[in-house]
Amino acid sequence: MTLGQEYLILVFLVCCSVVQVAAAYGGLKGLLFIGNRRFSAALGIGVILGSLAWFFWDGDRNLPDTGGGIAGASQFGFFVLGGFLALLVTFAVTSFTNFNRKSLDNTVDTTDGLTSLRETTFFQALSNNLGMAWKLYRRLTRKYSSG
Amino acid sequence: METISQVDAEIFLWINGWVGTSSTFDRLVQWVVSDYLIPVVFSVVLLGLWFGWTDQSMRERHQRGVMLAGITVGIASTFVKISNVFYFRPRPFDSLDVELLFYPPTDSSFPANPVTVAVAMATGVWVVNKRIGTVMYIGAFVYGFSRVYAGVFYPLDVVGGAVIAILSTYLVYFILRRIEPVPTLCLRLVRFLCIA
Repeated sequence: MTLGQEYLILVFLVCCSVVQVAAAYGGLKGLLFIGNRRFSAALGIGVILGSLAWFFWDGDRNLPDTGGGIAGASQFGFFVLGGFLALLVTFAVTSFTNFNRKSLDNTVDTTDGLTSLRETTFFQALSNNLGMAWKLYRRLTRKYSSG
Repeated sequence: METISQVDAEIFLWINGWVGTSSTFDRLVQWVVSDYLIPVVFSVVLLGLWFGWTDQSMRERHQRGVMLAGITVGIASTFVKISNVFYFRPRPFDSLDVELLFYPPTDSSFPANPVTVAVAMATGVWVVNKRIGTVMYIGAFVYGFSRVYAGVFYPLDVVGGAVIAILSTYLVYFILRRIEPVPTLCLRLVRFLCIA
C-alpha cells in the first residue's frame, strides 16, 4: 500500500470516529452507528487513537514528496476526499441502521439542520427539507406555469 | 538585519544542539514534526467542533470559527506563496552544521508554511473558543519548536509564519463581518442540507 492510500484510510477512520464522538457529545442520535452514546464516544476515541498509532508506528513517515511522501496539495486533496467519504458513509449507514428506530413526526423541525438529527436520521431530515423546498418552489412558480 | 539573522542562527544552533541527547525525545519529535500528525489532528478538531455541541447557538458559533479557520488557511498559505516569490531564505542545513531529524525540504525557509497553517487553524478556533484555541496554540507552538529542533526552520521562520497566520485571521474575520449576511446565508444553506 502506498503512503497516500494509508493516509486516506487514516483520514477516513479518524473523521468517521470524530463525528461519532461529536454526535455522542451533542446528542445527535440520528448520526450514531450504535445507539448507546457513551459506548459510541468510547469506541470513537479508541478508533482515533488506534488509527494514529497504526499510521505512525508502521514505518518512516517523514519522506519528501520526491521520495514516496505526499505533496502538500495532494495531502489536502486526500484529506478532503477522506473526510467527504467519511461523512457520506456516516450519513448513509446511520440513515439505514436508525431508520426503524427514528420516526419523523410533525414535532421535529428539520430546518434546524443538525439539531433535528437528535430525533430523526440524515436522509429523513434532508428529504423532508427538499420536499418543503420543492412545494414552496411549485407554489411560487404556479402562476407562471402554462399547465 | 545581519544581527537579527545572527541571533536567529545562534538560537537555532542552541536548540538543534540538543539533538542526540535523548533518543526517546528525538523519536517523539520525529512524530510531532511529521507532515501528517498535527495537520490531521487540528483538522479533525475543526470537524469535531462543527458537529459537537448540544446547544444550537454554540454550534453555530463554533461553525463560524471553523469557517474562519478554513478560509484563513487558504488566505495565509497564499500570502506565504507570494512572499516566497519575492524572498527566498535558504534552510538552516544549507549553511550550518545541523543534526537533521527530518527530510531536507527545498522550498524557502521563511516563513514556516506548516506553522502558518497550524496557527491559522488555532487562531480561527481561539476567536470563538478561548480554551480549545489555547490548547491548539500550544500544539502549534510544539509543532513549530519541533521543526526548529529537527533542523528544518530557523526560529524567526516560525515566528514569521505565526504572525502571517494571526494577521490573516483578523483580515478574514474583518472581511467576513463586512460581507455579512453572506456567511450567515452560507451557514443557513448547509443547515438546510442538514450538515450544519
